[in-house]
Amino acid sequence: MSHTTPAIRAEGLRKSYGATRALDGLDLTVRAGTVFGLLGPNGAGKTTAVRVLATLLRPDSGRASVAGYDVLAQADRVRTRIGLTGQYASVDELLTGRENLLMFGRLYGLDAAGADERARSLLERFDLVGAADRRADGYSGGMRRRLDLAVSLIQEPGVLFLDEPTTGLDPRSRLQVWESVRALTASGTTVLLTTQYLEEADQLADAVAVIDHGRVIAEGTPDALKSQVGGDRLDVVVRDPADLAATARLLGDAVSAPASVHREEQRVSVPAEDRMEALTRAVRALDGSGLRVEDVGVRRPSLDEVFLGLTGSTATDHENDRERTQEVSR
Amino acid sequence: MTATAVPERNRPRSGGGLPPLQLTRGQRLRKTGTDTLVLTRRNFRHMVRDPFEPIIAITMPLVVVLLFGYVFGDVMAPPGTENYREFLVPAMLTMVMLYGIGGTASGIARDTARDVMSRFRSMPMSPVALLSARALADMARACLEVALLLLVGFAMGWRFEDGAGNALAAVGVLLLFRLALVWLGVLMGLVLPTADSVSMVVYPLTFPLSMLSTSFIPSTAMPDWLAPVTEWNPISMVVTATRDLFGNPSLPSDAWPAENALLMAVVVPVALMLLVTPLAVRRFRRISR
Ligand SMILES: Nc1ncnc2c1ncn2[C@@H]1O[C@H](COP(=O)(O)OP(=O)(O)O)[C@@H](O)[C@H]1O
Ligand SMILES: [Mg+2]
Repeated sequence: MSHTTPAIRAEGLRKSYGATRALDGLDLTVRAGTVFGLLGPNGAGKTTAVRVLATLLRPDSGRASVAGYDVLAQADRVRTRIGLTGQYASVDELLTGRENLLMFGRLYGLDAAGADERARSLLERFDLVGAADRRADGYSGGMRRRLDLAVSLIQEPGVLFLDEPTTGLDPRSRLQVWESVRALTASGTTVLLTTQYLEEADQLADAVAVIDHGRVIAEGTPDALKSQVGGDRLDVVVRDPADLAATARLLGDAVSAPASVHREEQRVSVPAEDRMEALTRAVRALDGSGLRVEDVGVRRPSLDEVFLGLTGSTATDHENDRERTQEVSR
Repeated sequence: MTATAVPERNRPRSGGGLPPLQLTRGQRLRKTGTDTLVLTRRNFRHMVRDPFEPIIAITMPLVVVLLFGYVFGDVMAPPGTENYREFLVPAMLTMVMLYGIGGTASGIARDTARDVMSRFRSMPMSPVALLSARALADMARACLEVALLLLVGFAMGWRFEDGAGNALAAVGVLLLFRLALVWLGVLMGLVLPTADSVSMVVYPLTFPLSMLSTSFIPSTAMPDWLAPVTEWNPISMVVTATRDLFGNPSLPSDAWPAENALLMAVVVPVALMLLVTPLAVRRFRRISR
């Protein structure tokens, strides 16, 4: 690996609002051309971090550079290289999709012909040709997001900031946004995306930093993070929920480790230090036990489990998350 | 994974029409100019597509004047104003200039809402263009309003009696008043939290202000304690100066501001601008730094 300057580097960023420490010594390094996921629960400091990096907010202390330029001393230069899609869509609702792209194109410094050309290609790329001449206040949430994303790509930014780009979107729109983000990296853009969705980081990011209370509490590739928290897991899904307790006892004995029950999914999970050995023992124990099994598999731990291991609380507050982590004593 | 992508690579600086990364002083000024025009055009589009506010701002004074001129005219008309409708037209014009402040303030409030402003500020544009475009669009709107209302006045029997030069000066007085209010509106838009809160503040303030002036009735018809308020109300000064310049009937008054109406109609707006513009610019700098 050559010593290319990182696309984003932050060192010891601090920012307080009264007694709230929104950023409490945040350090980040994002390699050029990668997707970096900033993962954390609501209030963790994600938006504050993005605002500092996008030259919108002055930190109380610390330094940061984006695309090789200092966000404080060289904010003007940083702005010629970044795109930003904020947490809340900020397209002009009274203008049509095309008018939005034309206006922002001119403001980014394109001439009229250049803005026109760029608008055309972005409308096509984000599947907005049909709605191009309708006002944005009539767009669906997903269309608005895509238009917002298109605007942030007008100047073909080297670094793109996406603050919770899929929050509030329906699953189909979410998939569309994911596709767009994947396509971006193919063109060499560095993406910093914040998310509360562990799955989103897992799906998109080359590297992830988990933040909580304004500081990084874990960092690495999604895979590395998972193994940092624990090894592989062996899952057994039973057909009858009544069998859950018996299965947990059986599997716990088989691998000599505590089993956890995920009632919602009718699943029992045990650690699997050695994948093959655990699998063999489990299948042998289940065979002839009379328990009816739907599925058996070995998998990496989910980022949900990672987050639980790191912070002691789940990032998402779904009911089933609580149930999922219920330990069954042996 | 391998290290990739020098960001430079993705930036087609030629052909695509993108400007150079480092702007000279002259280029920066030109960019502010084009940004202003681009945003002015957008502001016009907003007025056309969301016309509620501009329509209210122009119909309220119209309705007031039609009511006074055609319904209550006989009881309202002060002595010495044999042509009450001609007397009302300058009042209507001044009132419309005043009501424009709502559009200015709510437009600025909308543009500087945090998430919208974030987008503007993350771009290599000139933030000041948001203010200059607002001023430009609102002054253009004021010109249109004056032209339109003069036509309405003409239909009501209003004429300028004192030569085209003075009539133009009267229009100048009105526009100067509006310009001062634009900057007051910019400040209000920056201070008030949302565009919606603007109309809650502006109208309850502007309507009584235009009634407590010599727009419709003489100050002598007011309670004693209110008379000086009415005489020193800047709206009275603008209305009286406009009446004088148009050669329209005016109220006989020996109050100092009425006798020096033209002077005051220039001095007060200029003073207001000198006071308000630096405050607005400073406040804007704080949120756009
Ligand atoms: N402008 C502000 N004024 C006061 N507190 C703020 C402000 N912005 C953020 N905060 C606080 O800072 C913390 C981090 O906020 P934020 O960066 O928005 O988190 P996230 O985007 O991860 O949800 C929160 O506790 C939030 O309440
Ligand atoms: Mg946020």
